[in-house]
Amino acid sequence: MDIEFAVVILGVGCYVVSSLLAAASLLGFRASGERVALILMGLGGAALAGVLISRGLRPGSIPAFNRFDAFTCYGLAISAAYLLWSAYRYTRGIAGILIPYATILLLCGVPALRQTGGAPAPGQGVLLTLHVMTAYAAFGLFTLASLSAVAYLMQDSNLKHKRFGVVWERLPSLGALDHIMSRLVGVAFLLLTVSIVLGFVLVHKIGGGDAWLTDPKIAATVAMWILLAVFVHMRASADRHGRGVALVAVCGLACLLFVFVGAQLVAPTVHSFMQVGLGVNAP
Amino acid sequence: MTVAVVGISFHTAPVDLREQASVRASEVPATLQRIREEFPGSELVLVSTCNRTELYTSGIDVGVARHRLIQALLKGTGTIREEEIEKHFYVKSDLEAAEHLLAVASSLDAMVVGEAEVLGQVKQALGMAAEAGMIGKVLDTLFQRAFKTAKRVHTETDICRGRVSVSSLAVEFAEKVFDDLSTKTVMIVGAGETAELALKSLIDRGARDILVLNRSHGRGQSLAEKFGGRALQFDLLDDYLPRADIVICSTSAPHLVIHAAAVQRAIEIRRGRPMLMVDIAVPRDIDPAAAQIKNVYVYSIDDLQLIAAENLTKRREAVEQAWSIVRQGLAEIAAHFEGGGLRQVLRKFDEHGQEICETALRRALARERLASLPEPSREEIRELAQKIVNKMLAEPREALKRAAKNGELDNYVRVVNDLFGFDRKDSPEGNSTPAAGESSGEKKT
Repeated sequence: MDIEFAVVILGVGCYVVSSLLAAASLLGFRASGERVALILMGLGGAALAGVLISRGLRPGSIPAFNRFDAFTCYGLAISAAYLLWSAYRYTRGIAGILIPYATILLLCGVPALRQTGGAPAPGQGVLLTLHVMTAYAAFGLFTLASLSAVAYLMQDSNLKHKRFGVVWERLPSLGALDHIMSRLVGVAFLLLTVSIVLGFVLVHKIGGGDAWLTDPKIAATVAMWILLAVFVHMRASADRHGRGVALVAVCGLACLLFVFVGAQLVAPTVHSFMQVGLGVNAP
Repeated sequence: MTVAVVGISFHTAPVDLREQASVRASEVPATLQRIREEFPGSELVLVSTCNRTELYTSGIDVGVARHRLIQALLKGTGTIREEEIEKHFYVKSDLEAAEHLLAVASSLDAMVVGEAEVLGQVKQALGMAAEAGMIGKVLDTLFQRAFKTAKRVHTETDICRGRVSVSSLAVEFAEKVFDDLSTKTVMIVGAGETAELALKSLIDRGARDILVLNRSHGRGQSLAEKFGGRALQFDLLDDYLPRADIVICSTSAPHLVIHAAAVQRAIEIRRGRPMLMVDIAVPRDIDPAAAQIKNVYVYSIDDLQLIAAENLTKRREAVEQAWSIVRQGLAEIAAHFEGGGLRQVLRKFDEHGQEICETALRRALARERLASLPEPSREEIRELAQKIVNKMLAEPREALKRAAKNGELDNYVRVVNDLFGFDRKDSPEGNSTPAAGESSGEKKT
């Protein structure tokens, strides 16, 4: 067993225990479990980030081109977004939804630990790195906003149907969840826009053809961007609130998942990072 | 431990007598001072709430001084029904008093089991007594341990979980819908008593913008003035509804006051911002169909009472667990105070043994036959004497420790004091006793 494998198992193990604790806390088994879950998630995240950094230090390598790298980057982006938000304003209860979600992503990546991805073409390193980083940052922030929307819908249902159990008690107020959504979606939209623009620049640089414009993954990404734009408009211009806005955010998450894993299952894509793709391997 | 509690509570007296015996916060220092003058050297804490007036004491024999103590306490209340009230007072001492304090602080003795406010009131009472210089080691230790036990009860059991009054439930719902009540508008429709209580609770939690609508504008105006809100004409209800985040209705109207269509219109104007509507009127003021509108959360008096009853049942289920924590706390208090007594008596034992040993040696070594002994031999004799004394006292020491563990220390201490004359030595008249002890020691040697 090599060191990298051991560290990955340790990191993912921390996440598994952390999600059990956070879920138990949400379901009322152990009220103080959420704080411990956050610490464990931080430790697991640090271990996995260490693995990605060590992979990134290899010459000409960007750790985002195979299934393990992609899922780990996404899982870590969500965790980092949540930790940053918690440092700004700790909101109890969301961890019970978010950490299990991140853990499932990480577990999906582990079987592909030995998979190797293609290296970027010469001269694309900086742009590609920025493209990947902004995309994952947007994914992390948007996922946190969307999972807050899931919590919002749960809490709305509890209040509507007068279910005043432990989950109602542990989840934050509708106002607090709405606040997370409104704060994060704007930043996520901005980052995704930057990432898409950088992606177009990269395609132009490598002389990509029509295959990129008709690619299902690119189309899904644009659809997600439109949904985000709708969300931002609903909040910023139309000043919409409540259940409807939360539903748009949840639809956005479904779209994101399709972009991330679903698109390449539906049709071949030139933009796959789950395997060696048909064209240039970029996220 | 010589602690006691003398008090009157909702268990023993109706409200009209309790209010006669209650002491206003501003009067507490003067009342404590007056009682201290009557009982110099005592420690005192006075807990006075709407449900109880209790005086915790240390250093007063309440069995003897019950009447004087109650008279001193009632003197400051200005009541003319002293004799009638005194009959409703209860007295508890030592561990029974400690158990009572633990139950009060843990909200087990509250009118509504689990109402945690009483803990804050007891803490406040201790603070006032401390400020007035009425606290000593005994009551301070007792109260600190009571707070520790109460904290355990509140965190380890469900005794305080879930609100049980309509007004506090309204606040709980508001806090589950809105993040920050200070930026929300509360609309009171009808100026009923429960609505007023709910409004007061919301204001306590930060609500600032208050709108009051009442059929009688004058009554609405006085309520608005009382809480720093604005009184509006009743027929402006539909116009102002979109501005309200929280609506509390309690009119006595025999028909609906807020229709679903008005709520639908309001929520559209609010662009989906949530609205909490609490209807505590019978018959209902808010159209039940309003509950079907998205982002509107409507609760009737039946909903609130059902939740209150469920929460109360949960609290009652936790009572046994809470009492077990109280019993643990009580055992710790008993061990602490008895531990103090044990240390004291063991120290007396050591001093007594040392005294006998030194006196006997001094006299023996001063005699002619032994005076010429070399120093190493004298040292051996000293060690031998010390060992004999230690050996003799070892078994009684162990017996005392066992007695402390079994809660029988008081009886043993009494016997030991009597056998070894510790009481006589401690008392002013007993100052000559060591001399008598010396002579008896001499006889023995």
